[in-house]
Amino acid sequence: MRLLKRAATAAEFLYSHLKNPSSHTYYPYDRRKSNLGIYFDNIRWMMRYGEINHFYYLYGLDRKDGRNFDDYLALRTFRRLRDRANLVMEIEGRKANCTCLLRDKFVFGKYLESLGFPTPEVIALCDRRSIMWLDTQKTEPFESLMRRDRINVFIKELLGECADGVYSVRTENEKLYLNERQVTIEELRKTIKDKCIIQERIYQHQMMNELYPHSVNTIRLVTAICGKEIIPLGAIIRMGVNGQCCDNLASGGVSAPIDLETGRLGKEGLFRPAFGRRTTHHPDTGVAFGNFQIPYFADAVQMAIRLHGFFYGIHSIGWDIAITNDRPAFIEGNDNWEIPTFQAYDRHFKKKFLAVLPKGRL
Amino acid sequence: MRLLERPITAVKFLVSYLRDPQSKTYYPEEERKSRMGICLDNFRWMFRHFEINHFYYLYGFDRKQCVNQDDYLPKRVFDKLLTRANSPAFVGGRRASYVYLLQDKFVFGKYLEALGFPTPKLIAICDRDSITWLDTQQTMPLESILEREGLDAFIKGLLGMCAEGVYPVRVRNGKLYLNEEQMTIESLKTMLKNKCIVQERVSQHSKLKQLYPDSVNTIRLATAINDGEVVPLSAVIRTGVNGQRCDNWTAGGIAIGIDLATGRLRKYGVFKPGYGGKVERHPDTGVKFEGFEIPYFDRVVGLAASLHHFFYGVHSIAWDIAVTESGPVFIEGNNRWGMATLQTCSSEFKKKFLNTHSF
Repeated sequence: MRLLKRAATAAEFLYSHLKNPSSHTYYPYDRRKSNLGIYFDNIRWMMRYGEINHFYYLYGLDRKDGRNFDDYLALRTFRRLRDRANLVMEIEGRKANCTCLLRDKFVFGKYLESLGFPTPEVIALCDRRSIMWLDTQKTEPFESLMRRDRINVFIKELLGECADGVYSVRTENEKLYLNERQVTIEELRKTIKDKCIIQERIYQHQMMNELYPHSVNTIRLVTAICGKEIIPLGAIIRMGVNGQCCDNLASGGVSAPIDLETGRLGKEGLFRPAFGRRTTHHPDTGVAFGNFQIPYFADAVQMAIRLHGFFYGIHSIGWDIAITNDRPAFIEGNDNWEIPTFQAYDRHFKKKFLAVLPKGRL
Repeated sequence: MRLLERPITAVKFLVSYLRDPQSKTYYPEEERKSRMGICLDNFRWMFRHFEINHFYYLYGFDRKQCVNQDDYLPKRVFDKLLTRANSPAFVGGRRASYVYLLQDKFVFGKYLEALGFPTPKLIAICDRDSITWLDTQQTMPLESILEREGLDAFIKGLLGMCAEGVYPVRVRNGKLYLNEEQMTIESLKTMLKNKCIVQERVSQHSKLKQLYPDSVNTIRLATAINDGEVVPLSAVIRTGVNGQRCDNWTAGGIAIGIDLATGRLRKYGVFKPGYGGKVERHPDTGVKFEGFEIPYFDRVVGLAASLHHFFYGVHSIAWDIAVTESGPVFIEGNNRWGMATLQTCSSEFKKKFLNTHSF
């Protein structure tokens, strides 16, 4: 039954992929393969890697420019390699899984605070019933949120991923706003599912506001342990679009590559396949990506490298870094970062990643 | 082969157990069972729980006085329940393992520091080649330890357990001392197997020094989460003996039960089987245990309960807590812990532990 389902999904995908290749392509002005060529490419990918290549057009594999399949890591293979290196740390024969340091937002915030790295302050830990305020170390009913002066925060689920379970909450004149919509405390209580953190809001650098002002546009920087060193593998910036307050690519945001040496953006940004194609300017603000300088980028890279030194049990980490007016701030770290966008921008990314994998993990 | 090995081990154990019950008992002053009675008891335990009861004498099962064996948790059952309870937890519908927060001494120290709970200060993190000083955030060669005049600290393996890989070091006049003996940086390098922390030495409360001055006598307090509330299960204090610098029970130290309500020691201290029996006074200092009051014990229990709330992904934790002149200091927390001493010193341990579970 499961096999049948998988075959049906694959057939559906192939059909949708081939229905109108022109509408899928990221490179409409380049010479492209025929329908049959695309069809064979996708069948070959499936046979080789046992997965559907959802990023076929994103990688530009439909072009006739001689792009090689082998330059790209299949998502399934990548995840297996990444997890094998990230999920188990071994010291003197003892194994430990250190990923809770990154996955739990409360633990992450507190760990960084104690190490002296900039991160938004965690104000409280809460669930539907109560809030533990960290300044007073007192647990009070959930309603105590309204008794605090001018709350302007994010409430985030403890183990939430991909901006899922993140709520913008503020109080003004004794009124409560959830994602800028006035709500009652009961409505807010129903919205949150389980344990959450209450975290101060970050205000981004003026230059990042110029790029797109409605979301905090974060840098995704990947660092990896390579022998005794920690090196940056790649960096992109994510921005919201269409008034969205979230910069997440999976929610329709746009990304642009960052040159690790100079901190300048590349010429072209990309949307995820379901949301758009390529763009040289931000669709809302019209700001050109090419040569846009990210402020404090060198500091962000140096800090991430130093910080990764304290996450010695995790081989590679995708850091989400906001840039404030005076410095970078670490929003989160991800052991389960994804490769497609990095590969789409950098044909050599696969090589770079495989080169830093610990021996015996390939 | 393994099937054959197990009964042979069991028989060997029984023979050694029955050879000289007099020397093994913890209660020589009380009326005790015959060899046959002890033999049958142990067979019954083996058949019921599929394990050898290494703590038969410690629990006082050899006494004729009515001791109900059902009031005691077998080690195998306890280990199984503990592993299950402390395995990856669901938080907000997502699964994560939180035990690493306890296992890694650096992470544990930093997490507590950020939460504002007292714990010995972390000075540096090091390996054979280099040391990262946390005050300057600089990574330097390990030799730079000699430049830290007056350093008085413990070097501990990052994931070490049961006091293994713990070295007390001092730097005086540019020279390095381990346990008061001068050593070279090269011999320190050979001792360090992997990543270690350098942690400040804790000076214990003068009252606990009276009990035994050569080791830091730590409280082992077990707490568990029950329906969002943290409950203390049982507590003992461990002390070294015979000039030992380590208070570890498995290394020959004494464990003495603490009354959770009053913070006073119970009548007897017990050695691990093989190291001794039970004693009413500390063999080195002569201090009588019964009624000895542990300073700041209320705060010890209160702080441990508050702290466990921040380890929401771990069901039960055994805390090692030192008491200084200014209050309790959390040395470490253990997700895998032994219940023998805690069960010996608290008749309600099994009931309390099982009550905190929804097995």
